[in-house]
Amino acid sequence: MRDNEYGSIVISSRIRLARNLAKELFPTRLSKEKGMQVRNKIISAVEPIDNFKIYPMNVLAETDAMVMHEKHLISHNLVENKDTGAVCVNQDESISIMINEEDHIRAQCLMKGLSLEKAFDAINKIDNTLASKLNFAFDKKWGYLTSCITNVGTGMRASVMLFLPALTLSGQMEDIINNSLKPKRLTARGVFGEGSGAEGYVYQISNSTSLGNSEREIISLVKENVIRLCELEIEARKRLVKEKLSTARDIVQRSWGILTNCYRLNYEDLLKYLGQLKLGIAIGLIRFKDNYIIDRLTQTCLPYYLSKTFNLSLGEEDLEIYRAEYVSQELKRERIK
Amino acid sequence: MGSNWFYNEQNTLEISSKYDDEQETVCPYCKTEKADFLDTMFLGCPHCYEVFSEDVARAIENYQGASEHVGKVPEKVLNKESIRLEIEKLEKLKAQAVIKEDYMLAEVYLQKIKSLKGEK
Repeated sequence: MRDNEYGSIVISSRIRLARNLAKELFPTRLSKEKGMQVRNKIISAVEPIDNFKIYPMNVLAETDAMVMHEKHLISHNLVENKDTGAVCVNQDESISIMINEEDHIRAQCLMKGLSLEKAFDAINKIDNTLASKLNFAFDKKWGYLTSCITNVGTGMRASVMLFLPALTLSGQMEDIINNSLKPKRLTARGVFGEGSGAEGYVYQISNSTSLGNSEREIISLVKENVIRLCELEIEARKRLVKEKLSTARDIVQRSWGILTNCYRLNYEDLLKYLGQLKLGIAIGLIRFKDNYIIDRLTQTCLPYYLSKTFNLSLGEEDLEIYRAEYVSQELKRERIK
Repeated sequence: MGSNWFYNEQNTLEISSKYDDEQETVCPYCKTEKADFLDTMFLGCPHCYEVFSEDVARAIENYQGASEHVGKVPEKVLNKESIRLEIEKLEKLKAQAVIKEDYMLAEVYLQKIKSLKGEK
């Protein structure tokens, strides 16, 4: 796999497994008392595994929970489930196990680059350990039983986050999503999952069905199509440089201008303009000392992350002013003229 | 769990504990209504898969385009399955031993079966 060549396209890979305990109602039907029992049972199974920290949602501060959400460690649903929710996170935060989300267990492994197999191996090991201690709801015909039938079978979602600016600008993405991905039962969504738009040219490609193929087959399918998308993006970038260089240059310079001069900056605009700067880096129109500055700012400027990192307690307006100044300083400091 | 009355092939009235003819409209375990499931695709508990079996099968095949799990099986379930097959094999060997009137051997098989079933 030409990982380096796709380094400017593939951001991260994620494997998620959904599991439920046999003989227990699914989380949405559990009483508070029963939900807490289920939570404690799962926590007892996770506790002996090395390097995991356990955070029941009722003791986790709202800001900390939201930072975890922004880091993609937990869903918004879990943030809201103060009564019976919990999350277990390993030391390097590559693995998180959500308890009492849509299913009793939502275990995920998130890794940089195109690393679906590695992520699966890591989460599969955790799954085997949990399965030796807990009885999972499993049916010979339907596989792992899940709260929503869209996850039944393997209970697995394999997704890869991709930066696809040239395919987006050339207007090819809609056609690719509808005519190439959908028929193969693959889906493309924005960074924050279902219903979110592809801000900053970032798309999450994943399997849309979970039954009828083994875990390895699903991973191969997603990977094959991700590689195909990478090849198409490389082609589209070449065409962009060859045929529309002045347009691309204008987009990049405008973004630089806005990001280094604006007084207030909301997160949506930040994603948009950082995405355009990242395109500039990818096609050699702008250079920075650290090529990962865009990904770094994308993370550190998230509302709760920013507040937590710099110990701020600002309202939305002041936070936008702070963000604008911070981003401007960072970009100017890192740019190579 | 509801029961259905029906006539078998011998035209004798029987009670079925299966959810075959008219399907339940509410899951007796978690009180999820069939209409809610059809609306949202969400079930309330593992039993719902059996209680609403026909509708669940239709919905799954419709959405997933498949009707059979082919992936990972939990080790405990795998073990159970291999134990079931072993018991089946021993039952046949025991029956053969009985036919041959080798009751000592049949007793050996019986003890093995009991051991696998956790009865001794």
